[in-house]
Amino acid sequence: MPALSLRKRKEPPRAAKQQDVELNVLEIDDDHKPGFDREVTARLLSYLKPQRRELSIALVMMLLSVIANVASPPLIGWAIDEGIRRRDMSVLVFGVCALIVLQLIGFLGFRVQLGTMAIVGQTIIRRLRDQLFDHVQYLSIGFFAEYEVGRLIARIISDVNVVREAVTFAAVGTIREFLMLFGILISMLLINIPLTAVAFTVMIVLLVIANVWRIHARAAYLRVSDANAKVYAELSEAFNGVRVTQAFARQEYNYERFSGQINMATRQATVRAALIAGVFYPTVELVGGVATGTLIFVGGVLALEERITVGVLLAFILYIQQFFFPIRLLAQRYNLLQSVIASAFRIFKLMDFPAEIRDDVNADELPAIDGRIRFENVSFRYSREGEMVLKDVNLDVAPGSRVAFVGHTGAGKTTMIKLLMRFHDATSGRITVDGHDIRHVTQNSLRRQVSVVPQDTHLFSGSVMDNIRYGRLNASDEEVVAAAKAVGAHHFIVELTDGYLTDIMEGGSLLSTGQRQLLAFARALLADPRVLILDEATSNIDTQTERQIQTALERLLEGRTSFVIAHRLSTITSSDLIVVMDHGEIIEMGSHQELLELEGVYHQLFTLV
Amino acid sequence: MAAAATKSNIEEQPETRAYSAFRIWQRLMGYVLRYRIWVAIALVGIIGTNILAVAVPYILRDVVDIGIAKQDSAYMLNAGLLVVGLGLVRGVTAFMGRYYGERLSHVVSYDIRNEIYDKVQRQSFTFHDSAQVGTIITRAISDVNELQRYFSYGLMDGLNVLLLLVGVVGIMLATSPILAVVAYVPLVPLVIYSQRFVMRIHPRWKKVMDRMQVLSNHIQENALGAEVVRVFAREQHEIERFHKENQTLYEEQLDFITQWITYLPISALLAALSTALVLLFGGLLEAAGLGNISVGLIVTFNAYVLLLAQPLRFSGFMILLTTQAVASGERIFEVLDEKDLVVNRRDAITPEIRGHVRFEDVSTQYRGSSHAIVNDINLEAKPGEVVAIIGLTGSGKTTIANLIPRFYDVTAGRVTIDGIDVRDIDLHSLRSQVGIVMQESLLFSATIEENIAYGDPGATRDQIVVAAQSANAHDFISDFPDGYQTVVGERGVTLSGGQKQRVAIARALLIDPRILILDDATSSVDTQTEHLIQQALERIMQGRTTFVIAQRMSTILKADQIIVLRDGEIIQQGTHQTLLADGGLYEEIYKLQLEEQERVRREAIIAGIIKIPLEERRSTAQFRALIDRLAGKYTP
Repeated sequence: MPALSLRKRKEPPRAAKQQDVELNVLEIDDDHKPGFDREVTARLLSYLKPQRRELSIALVMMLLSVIANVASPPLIGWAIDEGIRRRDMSVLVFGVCALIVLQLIGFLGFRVQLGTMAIVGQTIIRRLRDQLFDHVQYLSIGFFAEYEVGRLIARIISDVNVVREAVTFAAVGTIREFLMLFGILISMLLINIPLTAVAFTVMIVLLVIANVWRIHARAAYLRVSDANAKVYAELSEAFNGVRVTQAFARQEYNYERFSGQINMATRQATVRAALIAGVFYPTVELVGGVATGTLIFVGGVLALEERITVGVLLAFILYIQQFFFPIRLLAQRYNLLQSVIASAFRIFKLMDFPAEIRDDVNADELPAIDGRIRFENVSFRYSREGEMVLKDVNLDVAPGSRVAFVGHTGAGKTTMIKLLMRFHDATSGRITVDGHDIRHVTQNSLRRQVSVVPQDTHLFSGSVMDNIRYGRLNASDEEVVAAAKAVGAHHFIVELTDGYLTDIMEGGSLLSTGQRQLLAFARALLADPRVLILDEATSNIDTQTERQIQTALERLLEGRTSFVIAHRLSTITSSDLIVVMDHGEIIEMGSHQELLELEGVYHQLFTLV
Repeated sequence: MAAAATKSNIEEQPETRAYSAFRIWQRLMGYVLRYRIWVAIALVGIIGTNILAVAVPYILRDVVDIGIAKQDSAYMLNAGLLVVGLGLVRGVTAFMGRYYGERLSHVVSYDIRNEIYDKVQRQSFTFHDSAQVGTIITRAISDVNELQRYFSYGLMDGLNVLLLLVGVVGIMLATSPILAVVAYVPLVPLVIYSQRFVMRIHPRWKKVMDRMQVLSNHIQENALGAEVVRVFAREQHEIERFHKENQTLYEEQLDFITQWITYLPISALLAALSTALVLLFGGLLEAAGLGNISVGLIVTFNAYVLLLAQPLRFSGFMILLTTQAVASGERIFEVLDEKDLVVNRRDAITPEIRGHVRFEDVSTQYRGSSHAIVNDINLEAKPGEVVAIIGLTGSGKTTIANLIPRFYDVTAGRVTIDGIDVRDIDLHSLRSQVGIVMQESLLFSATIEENIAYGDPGATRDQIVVAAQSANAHDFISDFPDGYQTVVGERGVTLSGGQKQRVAIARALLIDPRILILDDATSSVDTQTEHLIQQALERIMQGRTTFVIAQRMSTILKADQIIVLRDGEIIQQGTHQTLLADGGLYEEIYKLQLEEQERVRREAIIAGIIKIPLEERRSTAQFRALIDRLAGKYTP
């Protein structure tokens, strides 16, 4: 399978069908090979473009503060030499004032630099996040089945956060650190060459150490995060499966495995990371100590020969101190940038993942329909090499009739419905609604009139009212209540703590399955579509709720063209048309009576039980 | 915590703090002090490093005042060598302090995490019924990480800062009190500002984190409800909602960052101000000959100011880390201090069980409530008998079964096996001889082989295959390319409900239990699989005392004894024939529930959930003709 190419996203996102590219959702998360990908970097940088003005302000301000910082140590040296040692108080006061002014400039420059970059960074991040979320809204249902929620959150939240670090701090920070090192070197060279040689040697040594450390630190970090992930997975599984564990008296074995292997691996990985850090930072200090000692000796000797002054020596000692910080940061940032590129790579891959279904450029609004549905020679397969899951299906449904699909799992019932909802497009043939090919009308207008009640009711966080209103956002409170009453949900809603304003917790755990289903019915009723598709739930509901649902169902389907993936005998027998499917084909259809008389598969099934 | 009536400590005392902050801190220190040697090494390192750090600027003074002023080049060389030497020693001490401190923190978190794991694993079902897995995991991961950070940065670095502060402040005051006071003028505001900064930054950080959670939840909800969003064409609505939340995050994050980016330059500025003041007043005093100040001392003080600035800036964080560590510690101790409800007796025995089970006046209650889950249960199952337990949801069926392997303990009466109270039997021994097939066949992310051998990790391949064969699982397992080595679960192959159930049956079979507890739940499987499962269940029940929470008519009919439960009490007991003759609830349930199940099954066959062999029929010419006729009628 060819990997997804990373192309710059055009607005609007890439056009509808991409049947020539076989799409594999999970490839989005394929690890990016370490290193710097020019394309990804360029695309990431392109997000900076609208922020050019802020960026230049930040750079100018940064330059100012770097100059102020680099100039301070020689100024201190000068104040000591010319002011204190010569007892020239006016020079001293002037020097100190100049130092304060310089620091204020540095402060302002630094503050403005950070402030502008914070805005730049946050703006980019907000845009990235918005774009990702928007894009996901137009991906097909199938995408969500394969791409787990956790991954999606990881992309839109965590990966974007990693990028945030980079734009807010690292991008300009890196330039700043280079400039600092460069500026210090220049300044040193201007003041004294032999001492610069000492300092330069120190810098090189530090750079080498930092680079060695960087490599080890990254490896150690990856090991730690890997081990942590395993601990998390184990805890989650162990605690979720604790009843089985106890049933099989496995606690001791599991404990040995956890403490001896999984948790131990984390311990070893973290201790190793600690060792690497524990060697690095003291080494830097050690180098600092050696450097200071060497400077004292060389500088001291030079001072004796009166080739330099005490102030110069002090300036150099201060400079040496200033070396450490940027070098350490540079090493950390190199690793950070690597993760940023990896994150950005995944972000862009998700952003480029093509939407299977897009509105036709010339798509019209679907006018008000009667609800005549026709499948004309419809065939469908999910992937290019895949097997046909629907084979040349023909079906004509008159407005207002009820159709029941019957057939075992995999017979093609659900696929029929998915095609009608345009969650996928037919591979060949066409589906029309009142004569309009559903591919030539906008999805929004289609779905306003053709709706579905899925098997599992999904409720959103928010109130009961909000959830019913999801069917039609401009419905008044009265209309919502009327819909609830119509499906027989009103009585249990008013018994909830806050009635219609009761907050539905995530997943709606305070409602029973039957109640949730009634809410879904109310939602669909409020939407008032001409064509309604219903995937009957199979879950074990008690007889009383069952009856309520049955009544609600009748009311819901009344006067609409409806398609039911039926599980209840009564739903099937009362349908106008029963469609028996097998292996992607319609093998029998007719009313209950007709099919019984046919003495075919349906008859057999019916008499078999 | 869950709203279940069973209460645990975690929710019993939401307001009254069970522990004082100091007690928690003390207890945390207890963990650290298990490793006294490492603590000692780290302490020596930290103290050494600080002494050396204070010493170097002091040498600098003499270099300037003695070496340069007195033109003593030998002094220079010595001083240079001394600083290099001290640098080397300091490298070693810094390593000792840093590495052993951090190592300590990781090892202590390892210990605490082990303790939590062990504790949670051993908790009775009472605990697990009300505990939320996510909450416990957060405690075992985030809270332990919080402690680790504290031990490493808060405690060790805190000590470091404290020592440095004492050392430097002391030596500054000792050498020149006047100049020291001058230097402190901007440093005192720096400390205060740092503290206030931490107080300001923390709530903002929490706000940002909470907002991220809001966004995550929205993404999750949106993805899970993707179909509903599309059905009602609500994409635009979702997008607008998200953009609004994202905008709020933008503002809150900017607010958070603004604190930081103001703090960083201001703290740098205050430190620089201290340098400037030292220069100015040092110069003035030196010129005036006051306070015994030399040029070297000014240079030294400059170095001290630099040395102080960094730790002072972060002093605020030490306090924050400590408060957070105490809060985390409290949450962890809540888990660790949870009372053990099912305790293995010291003198517990390990008998070979025959399988004679008796319930004698058994009652259990919810913890902290007088409401009984099951009340006054008396029943007897002779070795090899099958007892079917039936009743409506919530009538206590599972609870009765769970009392046998002591997942819960009785609050009155006793459960005996072969005449021995189960509380006198060693837990491990007891549970090794009781097999369970639960309603939800939970498998672990491991190979099929490891899953079947879950109860006996030492089982041979042959034993595993035999168990799988008896459970009618061998065939489908062999069909996988990796056979028994196929990994199932999150990172592997997804098994169907029927396949999972058979693996679970094999798992129970492998330990060859004397007593068996079955949750005979109907799941949507095809007739073929249903048959295979039934067959496997019957096989596994052979010669074992079996308690089956019955859902299938066929199972009930085969039972030696049927127990009918209502609201935790046995209201009818007997065989199918006698109970049916009695009338009452059994008859009612029989009609309502079991007939209903038959109906569901019939409908399932019609609806095609249960697979039907069609192929052979379709080949006949007559059948073809029928279809053609139909097609002619219903297609254009």
